[in-house]
Amino acid sequence: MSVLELDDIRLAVPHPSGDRTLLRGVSLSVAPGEALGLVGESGSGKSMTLRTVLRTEPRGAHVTGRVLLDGRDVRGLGTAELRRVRAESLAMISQDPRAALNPLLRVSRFLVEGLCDARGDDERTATRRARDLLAQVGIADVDRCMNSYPHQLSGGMLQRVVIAAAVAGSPRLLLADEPTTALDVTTQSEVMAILDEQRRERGMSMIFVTHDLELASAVCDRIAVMYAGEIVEISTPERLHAAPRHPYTRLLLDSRPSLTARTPVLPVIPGRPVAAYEVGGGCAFAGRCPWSEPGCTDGEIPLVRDGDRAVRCAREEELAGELAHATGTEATA
Amino acid sequence: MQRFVIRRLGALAVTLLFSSFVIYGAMYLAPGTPESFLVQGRTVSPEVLASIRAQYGLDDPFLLRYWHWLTGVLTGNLGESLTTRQDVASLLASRIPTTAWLTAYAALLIVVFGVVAGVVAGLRGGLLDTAVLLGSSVGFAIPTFFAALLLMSVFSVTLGWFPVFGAGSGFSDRILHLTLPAVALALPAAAVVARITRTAVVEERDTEHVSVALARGVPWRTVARRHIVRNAMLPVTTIVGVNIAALVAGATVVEHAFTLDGVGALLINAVQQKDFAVVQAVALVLVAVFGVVNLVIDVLYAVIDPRVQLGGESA
Ligand SMILES: Nc1ncnc2c1ncn2[C@@H]1O[C@H](COP(=O)(O)OP(=O)(O)O)[C@@H](O)[C@H]1O
Ligand SMILES: [Mg+2]
Repeated sequence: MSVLELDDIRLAVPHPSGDRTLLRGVSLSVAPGEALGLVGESGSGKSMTLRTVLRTEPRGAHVTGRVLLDGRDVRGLGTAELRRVRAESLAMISQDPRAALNPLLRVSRFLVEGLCDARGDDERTATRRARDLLAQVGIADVDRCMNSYPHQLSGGMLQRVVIAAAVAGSPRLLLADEPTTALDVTTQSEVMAILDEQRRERGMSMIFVTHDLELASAVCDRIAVMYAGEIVEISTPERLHAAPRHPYTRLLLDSRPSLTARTPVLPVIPGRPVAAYEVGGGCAFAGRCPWSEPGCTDGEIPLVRDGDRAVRCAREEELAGELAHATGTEATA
Repeated sequence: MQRFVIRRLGALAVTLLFSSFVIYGAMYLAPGTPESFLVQGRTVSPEVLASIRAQYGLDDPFLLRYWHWLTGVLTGNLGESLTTRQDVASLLASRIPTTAWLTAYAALLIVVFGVVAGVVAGLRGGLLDTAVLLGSSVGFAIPTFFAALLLMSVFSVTLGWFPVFGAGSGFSDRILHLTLPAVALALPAAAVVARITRTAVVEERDTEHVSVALARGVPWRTVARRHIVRNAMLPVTTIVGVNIAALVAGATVVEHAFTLDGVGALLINAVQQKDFAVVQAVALVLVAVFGVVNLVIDVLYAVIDPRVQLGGESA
């Protein structure tokens, strides 16, 4: 059974000019021990998808669909049960560790509180465990770190603290939302390696959100590509690179800076990303897609599953051969 | 910390010196003469007036008179009152308890009602929030003197629950006597504090570290106490401090309205009578209290916020 299963998650937030749809039916599953990458341009709804799992979506948001954690629907839990699930089964690592910690409290309080106040461990055990965890995430001076206030530590150190706190209770599922984006380039790979190592050691599942397809390919077993509040393709990194099935994936692959081709201009996907609430009928990507045809804007295009991969494109079969090759000029703005 | 406090106390001493000079100068330039008050409208011969002026040194040049006063203060002698011939120090000592009780009581009311109402409104929202917002608007809009009269006529005259004037003696009698004055004095400040506390709590409730704590499964009550209220106390400490320091000045109006024999009432009389030594002494006390309260707030701020380094040795 999957650790997590999202079943047709739709989310809308109230807006003066009528409700705004942000998620348009997200379905995905994460197997035990699996790392699933969630990739897409900024604003495509990656963070919002994670928030529906933790139930931290914006106040007043309407959410439909099911979030099954080990078969239990998180969306239907009462306050006390939800708190238990958050304390024991889920953990979040967000982009900015400096915002995640209370600036007025010591690191030790942050770590101990997750075990003590959230899970009910006793304070002494929790403190000992917190120290062990800091050592495990590669912090040399554990005493100093425990007694520090957030402003006394670097971003990389703080993100290690957050990772330690996240894996502390050995949750079933880690939700990592661009955990290295806010860090220095030099510490990014270090922190990523620590996160990957900790997760594997404990056999935890993970959803790893990033806009960096390369990074996701390096650490994830499968990758889901999001566009305008829905998933357009799911595949393994290898197959995604060798033979993407959705035009958006193809263009994402082509838009990364290539080390060999020495393109003078960084290729970008032409056109502006579309917000989920702006999408009319048919394919959300049709307006920017070099392969779109008049038929692409009609009806609803389903996510078609094929073994462990899935794609949402009306011309999927016709384009299969063409998308296997890099686009070259079309993608260069 | 210690060096910071010492440095601030030094700065306070300079402020006291400066303000004493300014107040002395202002009194000197203000219209009216002390001896006219001393003779109380009786017709006296110019010779008698001249002898009075000479006795009190009123004909000496300004700087010389200030110098006499200052050297007296530095040797522990606050001088004596022109009008009552009483020793200023003992006069002050007899008046300070009433004002101290009044302002302490009002400060307590500000903290309890202002801060607590603000916290509850910010955390709970809904009807309570609206009630606090409305109440604080009313409290802020009513002038202290009017509030004093209103409270007196309702609770003392009509209902007879509290005495109309006097400061009382002994703890419970004092509390009884000072309740209405303290309420009148605390009202506008408590209103401001409630509003600012509410805003601070609402803002803190929406921060990421609070939603992170909740998403980790930390119970709401713990998050409210440890993360929301605690952090909201940063701006609240400042505003409470400023308002408590200002009470010392506001007490003058309230003491007058309730005919309390406090320092404020003493100051009003002394200014009217150009009683230099008394005005100077009261002013020194007020400025010193203001300075000390502000110092306490700065220290408290640094205790709450680890990012604040006292003395500005970089954060
Ligand atoms: N609190 C919010 N209220 C309303 N809309 C929001 C809120 N947060 C994000 N959005 C909108 O939801 C969309 C998806 O946001 P998000 O999930 O953060 O994107 P991503 O993480 O993929 O960059 C964006 O269009 C964003 O403007
Ligand atoms: Mg995001």
